[in-house]
Amino acid sequence: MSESGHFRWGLRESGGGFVLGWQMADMMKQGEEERLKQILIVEDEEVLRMLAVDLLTDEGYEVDEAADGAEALARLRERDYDLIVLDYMLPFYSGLEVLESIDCHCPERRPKVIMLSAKTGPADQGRAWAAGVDWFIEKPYRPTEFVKKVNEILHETDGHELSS
Amino acid sequence: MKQMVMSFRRSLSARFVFLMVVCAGVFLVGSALFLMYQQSLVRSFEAAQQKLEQKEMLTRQLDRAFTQAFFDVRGYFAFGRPVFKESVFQQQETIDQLLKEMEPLASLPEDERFLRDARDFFIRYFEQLVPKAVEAFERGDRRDVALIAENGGTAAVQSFQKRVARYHDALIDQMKQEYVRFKQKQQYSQAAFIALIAILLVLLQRLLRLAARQIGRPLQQFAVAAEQFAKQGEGAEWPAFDEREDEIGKLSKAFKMMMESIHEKEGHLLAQNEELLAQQEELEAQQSELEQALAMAERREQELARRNALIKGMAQSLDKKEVLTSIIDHLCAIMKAERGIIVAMDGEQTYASFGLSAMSVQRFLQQLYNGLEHRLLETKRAFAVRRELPMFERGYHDRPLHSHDLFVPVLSPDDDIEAIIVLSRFGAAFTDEEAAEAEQLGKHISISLQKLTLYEEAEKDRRLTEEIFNHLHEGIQLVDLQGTNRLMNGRMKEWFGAADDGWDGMPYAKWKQQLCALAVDERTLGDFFDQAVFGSADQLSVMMYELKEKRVVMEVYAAPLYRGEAKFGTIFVHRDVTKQAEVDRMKSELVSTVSHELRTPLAGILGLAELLLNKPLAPERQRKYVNAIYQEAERLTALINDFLDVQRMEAGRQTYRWEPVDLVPIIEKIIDAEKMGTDIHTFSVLVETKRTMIRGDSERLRQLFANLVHNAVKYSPDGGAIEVRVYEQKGCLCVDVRDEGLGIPAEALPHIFEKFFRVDNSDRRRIGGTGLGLTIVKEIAKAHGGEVTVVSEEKKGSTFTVQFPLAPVPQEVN
Repeated sequence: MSESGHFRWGLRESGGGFVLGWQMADMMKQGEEERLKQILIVEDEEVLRMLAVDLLTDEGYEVDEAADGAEALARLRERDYDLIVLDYMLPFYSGLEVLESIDCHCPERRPKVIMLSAKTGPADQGRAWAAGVDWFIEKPYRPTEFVKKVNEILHETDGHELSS
Repeated sequence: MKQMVMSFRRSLSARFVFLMVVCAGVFLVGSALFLMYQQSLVRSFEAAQQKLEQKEMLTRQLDRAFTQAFFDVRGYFAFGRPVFKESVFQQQETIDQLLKEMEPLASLPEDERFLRDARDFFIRYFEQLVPKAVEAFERGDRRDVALIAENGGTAAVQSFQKRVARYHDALIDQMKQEYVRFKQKQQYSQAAFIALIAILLVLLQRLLRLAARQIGRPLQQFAVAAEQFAKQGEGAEWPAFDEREDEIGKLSKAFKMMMESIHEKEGHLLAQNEELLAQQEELEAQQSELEQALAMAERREQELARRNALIKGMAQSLDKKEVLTSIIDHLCAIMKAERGIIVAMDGEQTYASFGLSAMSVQRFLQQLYNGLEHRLLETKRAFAVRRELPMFERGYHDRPLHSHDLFVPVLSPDDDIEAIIVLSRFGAAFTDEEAAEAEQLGKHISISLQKLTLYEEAEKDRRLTEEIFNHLHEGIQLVDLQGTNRLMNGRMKEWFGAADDGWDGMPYAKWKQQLCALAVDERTLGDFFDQAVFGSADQLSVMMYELKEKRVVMEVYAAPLYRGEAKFGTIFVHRDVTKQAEVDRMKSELVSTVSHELRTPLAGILGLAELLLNKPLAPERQRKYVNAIYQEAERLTALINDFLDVQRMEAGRQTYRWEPVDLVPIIEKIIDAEKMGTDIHTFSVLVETKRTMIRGDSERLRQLFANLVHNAVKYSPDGGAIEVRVYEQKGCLCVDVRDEGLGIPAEALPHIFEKFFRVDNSDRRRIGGTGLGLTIVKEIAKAHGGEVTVVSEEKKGSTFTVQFPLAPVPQEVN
């Protein structure tokens, strides 16, 4: 089932070209070996925050939440995260401003970033990519795909290790 | 010799030269002889003188030697010193020597006598007297010595001394005589030389006289004769020198021949002269004819010049008044009229006059259709009249004066009278030819007037077009193939203005640079111009740009202009699309905002629903999710309703059912409903006026107050008093809704009635809302002819005030 086996897209070098293929990683095995991955969810909409927290907690991650940019920055100062799920539109500081602040004050603690947004204009997306996010998801999103993306991004480094 | 004589005869000059040479030769020979004689004279004189001097010198030495000897002898006798005796013998030798020297010099008998005497004395003295005396002295016989002296010794000595002196004097005399003789001879020779010169002068004088006789006189005679000949021609007496063979003779012959030849030619010349005179007369006659023709031509030319001036004057200006003035001025000059007027028969009766007072002109214009001019209108032919001048026109003249008036019509090609010309003159009457000429000129004038009319019409059209062109809201620019600016309308200049005058004919590079400098994105605009002017694209091209300083968004399109097949330029049309751009921007922003607002609750609903569908969940979690889905769905519904309401209201499509409404029951009902949902708020309603009725839509008013009261509750999450106050102020019914909640930050106040505006504040953010409630409030109040205002202080609460007009109530909308 997709919840237990985690699929992700990967690139593997084969002969003269690249072959796109499925690669299977056994999350459970690795989870036993490592500490739990830590994720911060920054979302001002209560319902959506609840949804994301529940989804990722179910996946076995340690999840913190923040309702706005200021709170997110406070959390980021307290501890290191492996991933931050960041809403694009936030009160006080926008998602991009939060990223900027991280880059400015403690770039070494910059986690991976998935940005969520109900703003779907190409300009907004462009700005997000330019700010160096790892993935961009439009709202409304499908929970399964969201979870899949989170897993993928969190284990990308491991994937590279496997292939090399 | 013969030859020389011949040449003397033939040549005066040879003769003259010969005589001159002879004279000069005589003079030279005479001078040479004179000089030689002088020299020999001097030489002989000098020789004689030298000899005498020598004699004289020797004589003096002899004298001195004797004297010395005498002294020495006496010294010896006196002092007895042998030195004196020795000296005496020395003197003896000297004297002997001197005497020997003198001997060859004795040339005269006297010299010889003196020599003899001297020798005698010498011998006697030195051989007799002195030895005896010395002997006596040496014997000591002083008496003997004295005796010797007395016996002739002393006397002899004295006599000899005298003899020497005499001889010496004679020598001096001789020298003097010699000098006198020399002088005399010299004088004689000089006199002879002067005589020679005198003779030569006389000879020369004779020679000149001869020359005068031989050359001067004949020449004088020639001169007189030639003068006579020149004066009288014939009959002059010619002196005869023909027999002479020299130059005079030749001159005489030649002159004679010349005179004869002149005589011969004179007759011939006289004949020719007569002929010439005849010809001259003929020429003079022709010349006078030509002069007449020339005068005629000049008159013609002047006339033509005046006509040309007339035509030129008509062509030069396009101003009707100016043209008419030019016409009448020139016409008066051509027709030699003192005064004149031309009146165009257009609606305005434009006129121009020459030599007329303003009053006369007015009178003429008033009488235009009553006077003689009427005949002109009927006959359409020029005519002349003679009339007596009325008193006021006579000026200072006493006698009656007459004026000749010529009336000329200016006929159009359709034979309509376009203008009337009246010309007056006091002198001669106008002839028929003049009238015809004036009529002819009238045709020229007609053409000119027609041209003017055409021009005026065209000018009117042009001005109209220009006005339209300049008042268009678009800036229009026309450039030629090289991009040079050809035309620019007022709007264009207004926008790109600084160089107001310089635009005409401005080269491409310059106007492009000026225009682009004003734009935010200079290069893109420049590329657009390049492409439009020089590019091959034939179709319309459009671009948007922004003006830097004015912050105006412009749109420009360029289109090629064709005349037939050939492109001759490009037209640019600039348009201010700031408003349109703003509307576009707002529209897209709205769409973006609405989509965001809709997506947010949808994301919750969709996510939770999928979770519920795909995952086995504990029942309490399921309930939590379903609850959340319900909330979000409700929020979505409210949002859609609110949004639709706002859209409807803003577009003026909201339907209102107008009726008298009492606000108080509506407000009370809302308060009651709100009370149910909270237990931390206290509510109060204060009604301070009896007139609480307005004309309105009760449903919309309920919505209005529900939004306000609900907001008051929502944004005071810690509870507090909520007060609604109804009162009357300045003819309006006012309703305050006051809370003690969060309040609104000052910077947010101006925006709170805008669509989807929500105050960024974590406290507020937790409070749900569409961001449309206050917009709806504003729209409803507006539809009721009222307005809504807000006073707020952060953390202390807000007061929203809605004002409705009491009367008159608003007209039904829609």
